[in-house]
Amino acid sequence: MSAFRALLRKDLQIFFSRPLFYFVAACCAFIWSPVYIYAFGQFLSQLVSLMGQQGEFITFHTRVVMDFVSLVNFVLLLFVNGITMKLITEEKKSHTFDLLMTSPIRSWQIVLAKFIAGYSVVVVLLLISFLYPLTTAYFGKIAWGPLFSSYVGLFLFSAIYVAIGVFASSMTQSVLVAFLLSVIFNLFLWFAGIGSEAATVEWMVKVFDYINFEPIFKNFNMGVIRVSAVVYLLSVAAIALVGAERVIETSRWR
Amino acid sequence: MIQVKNLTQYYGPHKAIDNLNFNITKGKLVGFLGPNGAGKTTTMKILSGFSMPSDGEVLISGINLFEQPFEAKKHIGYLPETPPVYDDMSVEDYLNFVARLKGVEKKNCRALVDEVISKVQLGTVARRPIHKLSKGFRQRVGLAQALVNKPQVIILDEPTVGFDPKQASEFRNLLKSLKRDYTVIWSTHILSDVESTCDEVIVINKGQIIAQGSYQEITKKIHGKRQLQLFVKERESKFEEQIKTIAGTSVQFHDSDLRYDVQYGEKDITDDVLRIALGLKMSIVKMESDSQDLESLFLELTNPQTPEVQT
Repeated sequence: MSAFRALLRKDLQIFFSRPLFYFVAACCAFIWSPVYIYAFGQFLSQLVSLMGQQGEFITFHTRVVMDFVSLVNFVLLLFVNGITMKLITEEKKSHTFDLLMTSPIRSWQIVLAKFIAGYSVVVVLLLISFLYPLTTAYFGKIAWGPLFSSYVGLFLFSAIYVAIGVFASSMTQSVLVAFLLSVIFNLFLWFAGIGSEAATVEWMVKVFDYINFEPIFKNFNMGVIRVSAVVYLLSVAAIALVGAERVIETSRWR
Repeated sequence: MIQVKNLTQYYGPHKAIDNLNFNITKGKLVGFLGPNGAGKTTTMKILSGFSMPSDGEVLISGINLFEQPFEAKKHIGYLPETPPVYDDMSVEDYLNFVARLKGVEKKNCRALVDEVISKVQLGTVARRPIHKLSKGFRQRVGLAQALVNKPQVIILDEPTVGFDPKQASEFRNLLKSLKRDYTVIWSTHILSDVESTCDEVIVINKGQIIAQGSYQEITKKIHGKRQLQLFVKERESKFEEQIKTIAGTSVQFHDSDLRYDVQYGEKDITDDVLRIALGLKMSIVKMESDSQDLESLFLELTNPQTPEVQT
């Protein structure tokens, strides 16, 4: 395991010592901050206008957190590809892939180290995003249950983005191609709902409905955690990682 | 130390290497020579554990590389044409990382890295980022990573391509100084690399080994006999008579450049020839061993009409 730990440590050092991570983190904060402040302001003014009226009911989670979490997810969907695109392509481009392949480290260990390194970066970004509702909680009461559920969803979906990014970067030596492949794979899963609407055959409709991320994400965001959804999302991430491992392993035969 | 048996590699229908068989014993530095496209890199990639062959077996220190790759790779150091370095890292950090990657325990890393830095003469640049190093130093860092875990076998795949003559000479000297501690196989098409450094040569062409052994052995196999050239100030008939008394030798004199060509067999007769010439008080201008330079030998071997030579 020393080889695995060494590779993981090296990748983490590279991620956190390069300006790219700080640039991405700054961009995220730049996008998230005004949106959160605006949504929170809107929520407060709605709350004030509804004071004293009977039958009207709004919550912080439905008016602020849900939209904010959707935005965080959308930003990560775009930015994670930029983080993961170099994970394996850069090793191939700089010929350090030769070093990995001739060292006593297994292909799955290479993939796992790359995944954990990339996911660690995303986790830091998610923790930054969590500071916003956390700050609000400092000043008042918020519903922790739905917030927890939303973030479970975010963590799971981010794992998929990173896993797909690792898979895409294992397939090519070009950073740009890896980025585009990763975006295409991720968007396909998000927009499978369109396929479902367009499909005419019943089984295809079912398949598209099943793989469509959108309803699953909505459930998490509304505070519903289904075991089947968790298993499905983890399976998608695992399939992407196994795919990356297979691509690396088959490079020994090419 | 390295045993290669029936190694074959197909790329689609194309046979890149065809039934290679050779052994390299401990402490030898062997040149793996061949023209571009001969199958050198394919063979090196297989020996390093990067690629899997279509057929055949490789034993590294007695361990089957394809059955126990994890174990076998601990005994291999590999330097491809482009050194596999991380530009952002310092030389020291990089070598520490490689040592850990190769399975060296953390407590031993420091000592091994220091040792290899001194062995490959990287002390002056040890803390410098790799992207700031010259090509020669980068290649040394590449060599250092191949040595850092003290492997028994070193595989070098055209490491001197793109070097200027000074860098190439420095790299060769470095290898010469290392060869007693390691078994080295050095793939190259730069003949001067091999000629001045290697103990033995394996010549490959179109995926097949066409010659194997020391230069002298290969030359002898091609020409049947070895030859000594003696340039003198004047012809001495007694010299010819006395040389002919040595079993298995023949001699010819060339008037044009006052030169004796002495052909001989298995046993080296240089001392005998000198003794006879000095006994007759002949004036010797110069004496040369016949062995062809490697370039002409290489061209001859890769000529399709030359038969296969195994020693």
